[in-house]
Amino acid sequence: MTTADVSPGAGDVVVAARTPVVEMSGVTKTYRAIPPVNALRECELRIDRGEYVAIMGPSGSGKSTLLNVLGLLDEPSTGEYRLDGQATSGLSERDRSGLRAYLIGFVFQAFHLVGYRSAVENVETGLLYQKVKRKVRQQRAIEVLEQVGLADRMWATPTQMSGGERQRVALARALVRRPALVLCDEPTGNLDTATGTQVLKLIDELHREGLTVVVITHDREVGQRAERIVEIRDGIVHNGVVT
Amino acid sequence: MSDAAAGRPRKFRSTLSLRDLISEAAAAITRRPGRSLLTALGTVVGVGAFVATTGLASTAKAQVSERFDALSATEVRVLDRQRTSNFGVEQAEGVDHPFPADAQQRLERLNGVEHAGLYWEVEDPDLDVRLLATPSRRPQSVQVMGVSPGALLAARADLRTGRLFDDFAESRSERVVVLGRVAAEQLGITRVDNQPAIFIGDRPYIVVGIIDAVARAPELVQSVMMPASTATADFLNEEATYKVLIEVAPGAAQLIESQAAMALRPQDPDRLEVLAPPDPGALKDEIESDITGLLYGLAGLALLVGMIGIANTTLVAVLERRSEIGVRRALGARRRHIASQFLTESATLGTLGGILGTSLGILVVVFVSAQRDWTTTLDPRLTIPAPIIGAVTGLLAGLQPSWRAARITPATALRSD
Repeated sequence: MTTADVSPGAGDVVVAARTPVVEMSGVTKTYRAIPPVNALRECELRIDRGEYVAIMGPSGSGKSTLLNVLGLLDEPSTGEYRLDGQATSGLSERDRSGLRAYLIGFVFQAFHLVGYRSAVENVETGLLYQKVKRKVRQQRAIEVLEQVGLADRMWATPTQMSGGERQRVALARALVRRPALVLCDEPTGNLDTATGTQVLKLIDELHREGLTVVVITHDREVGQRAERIVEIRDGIVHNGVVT
Repeated sequence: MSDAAAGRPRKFRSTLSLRDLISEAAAAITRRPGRSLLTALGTVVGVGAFVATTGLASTAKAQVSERFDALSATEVRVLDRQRTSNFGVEQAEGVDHPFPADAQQRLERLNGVEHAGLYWEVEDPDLDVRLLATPSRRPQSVQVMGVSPGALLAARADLRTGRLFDDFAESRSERVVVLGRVAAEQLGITRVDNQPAIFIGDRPYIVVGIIDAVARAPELVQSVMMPASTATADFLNEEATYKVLIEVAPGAAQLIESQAAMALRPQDPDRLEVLAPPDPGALKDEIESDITGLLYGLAGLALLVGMIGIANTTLVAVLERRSEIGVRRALGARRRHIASQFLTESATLGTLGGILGTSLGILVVVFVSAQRDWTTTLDPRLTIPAPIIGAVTGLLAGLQPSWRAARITPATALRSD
C-alpha cells in the first residue's frame, strides 16, 4: 500500500487547485472573564485542499484557541467558519460531532492515545464513530500502521512504545479516517530532535500525496517545513488569506 | 466529485454501535481486573446479601412450618369439662366415665388422626411402688399412669431401652409397665432385658421398657405407665382426671378439633373440651415478615454501599480518563456516546457483581442449611433476576459520573494532560 491510498477520503480526491477546506471570515473568540479575554479577533483564514500550512505564534497568541475552532472543538463567538464547504455556525452538538468524525484528523503534542489499547485498536478508534464495520476498521488500521512504519509494533500498547512510535500511531489514527484536514498541534513538542524530524518527514510525505495539513507550532524549524506560514499574535491572524 | 463540490449539503453522523459500545466498555473494565473486581465487591455483597436473605428466609420459613407442623400444629387434646371446671373438687358419685372404652379406636378412625389415646394418673393414696428386692425403699414421687398405647405414640415417647406396650397388652390387660426415666432411676432399674418386676401394692408388674423423654407429655418421664385397661382393672380411679391426646396429620388440627368430641361422646359432646392449637399461619407470617424485613433492610444497605462504591470508582475513572474523553470527543464521539460508555461500564460491573453475588448468596444458603440440617429452599422468582438488581445498581451508580463525563468539553479535556 502507498500513501496515495490514504489520501483525502471524506473530502474525496483533489478536485482542483484552490478548493478551500478552511474558510474563516471575521471569526472572534471571546472568553467570559473580568475583563473579557479576546483570544481571537476578526480572523480571516483560508486554507486550500492539499496545502501544508504552519500557524505560528508565541505562547498566549491564540494558537490553541484557533486550533480548537478549526477542529470544531470550540465554537467561535462571532464570524463564519466553513469546513470543506460546510457552514459550521449554529450547528448542533450532534452535527459538530459528525463533522469531526468524518472531516478532521487530530495529532496532539501529548499523543492522547488510549493507554490500555494496542496500536491497532488506537488507530481503529479513528473510525469508531463512523459507520465502518469492525473488520474493515481493523484492516484499514493495519494498512495505515504499515504505512507509518509500525508494521512490527501493531499489538504493542502505548506504554510499551517510544515517543516517536506513539506519535506515529497518533498520526495513523488521524490518517485512517481519510480526513479533509489534519490538524497537528505541536506534533514534535514531546519528541527529541531526531525522532521529531522523522515524524515531520512523514508528515511532509503525506502532504506530498495530497493531504491538507495544518501544523500549529511555535518552533520555527517545524514551521519552515510548511508551504505557507500564518502568523498569529494577540489573537490576530496575519497572512491568513493569500490573494 | 464531493457533495460540497457539487454544491450539496452533506450529512455526517457520528454513530456508535451497541457491539462497539460493549467492546469499549469491556476493554476499559478488563484493563484493571483487580480494581474492577474491588469496585464490583460492593454489589457482590449487596446482591449476595439479598439472595442469602431471601434464600434463608424461605428456608427458615420451611423450617418454621416444619416445627409448627411437627409439634404444636399436630397436637390436639381432649379434656373432661366436668373435671376441668371443678378442678380440685371431688367428682360427684355416679358421674359416668367421660370417655368410652374404645376412645382410641374411635379417634383413630377419623381421617387426619395419626395416633390417639387416653391417659390419666392413677390416684390412690395407698399406692406403694417398689422393687421386690428392696421392699424398704419407697420412692414418694413415683406416680402411676394409665396410658393407652396410642397415647404413648401420640406423646412421642422416646424409648431408651426395651419396648412400649402395645394394643395386644392393652386388650389383655397385661400387667406390664413402661418406666419414665426419672421413675426408673428412683426404682434403680437401668435395663429391662432381664425382665425386672416392680410391685404396685401387692401386684407384680413386668417392666418392658424405659422412656427417656416424652415430647408432648413431659410428666410421663416421672411415671410408671401401664396399659389403660390394666389400670382400669387394677385400680379404682375414682379421682382420676382423664385426658385424651391426639396426634394429627399436618393441617388437620382444626378438622379434628371439630370432630373429636362428637366421635368420643356423640350423646353429649359438649361435656368434652377439645384444645387445638391456633392456626399457625398468622404467627408464622408475622415471624417471617419480621425476619425478612430485617434481612431485606441489611441487603438494601449493602446494595447502597455497593452503589456508592461503583459511583465513586466511576467518578474517579472519569477524572482519570479526561484525556481519553477529550480524544474520543475529538474523534467524533457525541456526549451521549461518552455517557453511554461510562454507563455501560458501571452497569457491566454491577451485573458482574450481581452474578457473583447471586452465586455467593446461594452458596451461603446451601452452607447454612447444611450446617443446620435444613432443607435448602430457594425461590427462583427472586434468585434468577438477582443479577438484574446488580445491573440496575451499577446503572444507577453510573448515572452521575456519566453525566459528568458527557459534560466535559473536548477542548478542556485535551488540555488536561
